[in-house]
Amino acid sequence: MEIYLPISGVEIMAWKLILLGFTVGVIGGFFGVGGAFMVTPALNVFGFPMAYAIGTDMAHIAGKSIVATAKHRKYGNVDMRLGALMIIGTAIGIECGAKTIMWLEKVGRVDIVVRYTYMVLLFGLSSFMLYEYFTLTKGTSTGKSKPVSDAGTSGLALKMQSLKIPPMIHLKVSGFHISVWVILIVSAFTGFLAGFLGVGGGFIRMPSLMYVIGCPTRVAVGTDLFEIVVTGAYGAFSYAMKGRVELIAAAVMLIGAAVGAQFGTLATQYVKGLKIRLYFAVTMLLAGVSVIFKHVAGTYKAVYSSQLNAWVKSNPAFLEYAKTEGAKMGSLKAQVAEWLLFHKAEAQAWIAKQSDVIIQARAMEKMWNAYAGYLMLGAAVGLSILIIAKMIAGIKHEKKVLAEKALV
Amino acid sequence: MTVIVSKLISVLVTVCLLGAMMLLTMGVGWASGKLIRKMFGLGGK
Repeated sequence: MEIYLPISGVEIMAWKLILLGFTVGVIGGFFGVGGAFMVTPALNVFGFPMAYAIGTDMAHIAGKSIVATAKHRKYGNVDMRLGALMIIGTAIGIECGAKTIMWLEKVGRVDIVVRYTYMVLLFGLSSFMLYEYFTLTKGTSTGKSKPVSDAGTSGLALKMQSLKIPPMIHLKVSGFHISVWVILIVSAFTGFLAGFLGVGGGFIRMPSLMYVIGCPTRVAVGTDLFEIVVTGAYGAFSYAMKGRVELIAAAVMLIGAAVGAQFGTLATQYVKGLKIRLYFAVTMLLAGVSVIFKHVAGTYKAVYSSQLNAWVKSNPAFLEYAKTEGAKMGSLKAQVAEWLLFHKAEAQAWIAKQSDVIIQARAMEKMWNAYAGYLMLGAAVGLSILIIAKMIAGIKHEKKVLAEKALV
Repeated sequence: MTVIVSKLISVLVTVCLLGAMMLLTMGVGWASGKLIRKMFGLGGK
């Protein structure tokens, strides 16, 4: 069934949105992340303009996180005190990150700095987590060491917990005392990175909760989701007010996501904490590769973007727009982006009249962006199948153990 | 005054639409949760 989306003017098959929602729902519920790094490029592959893809994704993240958080709370995986404190620190951090971006925009080269930081973070985090996994599981297959289910508290987290700077807080669900200042500083830092990169930041917060604060893996997943409910709801409201949320698409995706989140959350009860960290590391690694693809696409865009911008700025229709509606936008760059969004056909016609070099560069840019989207879509589908398969195997194993106990 | 009222209306409409969407999600989540537990024969928590 094909549905027409009136705000962005795109026609899309409903099953594609439901499937995307479902897979990212499984991943979000399992890892405690919003999954914007997967949904946005995948929606873009489906023909969604980027500006609408981000807003629609925000609305979908908020809804999915409510379902997943409610379920995690039932399992005792949400540390509300920790989550509430993290929200305060994150809000401060996001504001500082956004201010830094604005400053970088004035200096120039903002895109390249953000992209490289993103890549370093994704590859750094995934490498560290993979290293930790293989170190802890070394020798378990040959029976030389005992199998481990979770990594335990890291050395850094133990040091953080030993800092007795008042006021101290007892986190009942996580099971330790810690200074409020440590939580606020860590969350402000992760919030800064999220604001700087322009992402939700679940993929930074989840490892921070485990390695810096010292939460068990499942509590880190649940608490991070609780925070995403608040930040996602604010983001969805903000984008909806700007008319950038395709409500029909978001609602269709949410149907799939609500079901997927149930599977993902249930799976955390049957998959070992250490395995959750391993799958998370692989996801981050794939996301890093997708950012490289986008970086390649960006280099092709650089071939023609300055000429395209110069054409837009000299266009009489744009000059009229800049004086009226565009005056509300913060910068000239934002005005150009907004104008191009609503005058896509004119921009394409302009590109078609240019030299072969520009036409070729545009085609290459589209191709590499599509590679990034397909990689994330493939990763989302593959990972959710793996998570569900592991969950089913865990349920079967648990039933077998219970049956054996009953016999004894 | 008109500007404030129109702004307020747009905020209210947005909140209501998003709220309705969240309620729909929670309903689907609750129903699918029940179904999944039944499917795998899981009881209690």
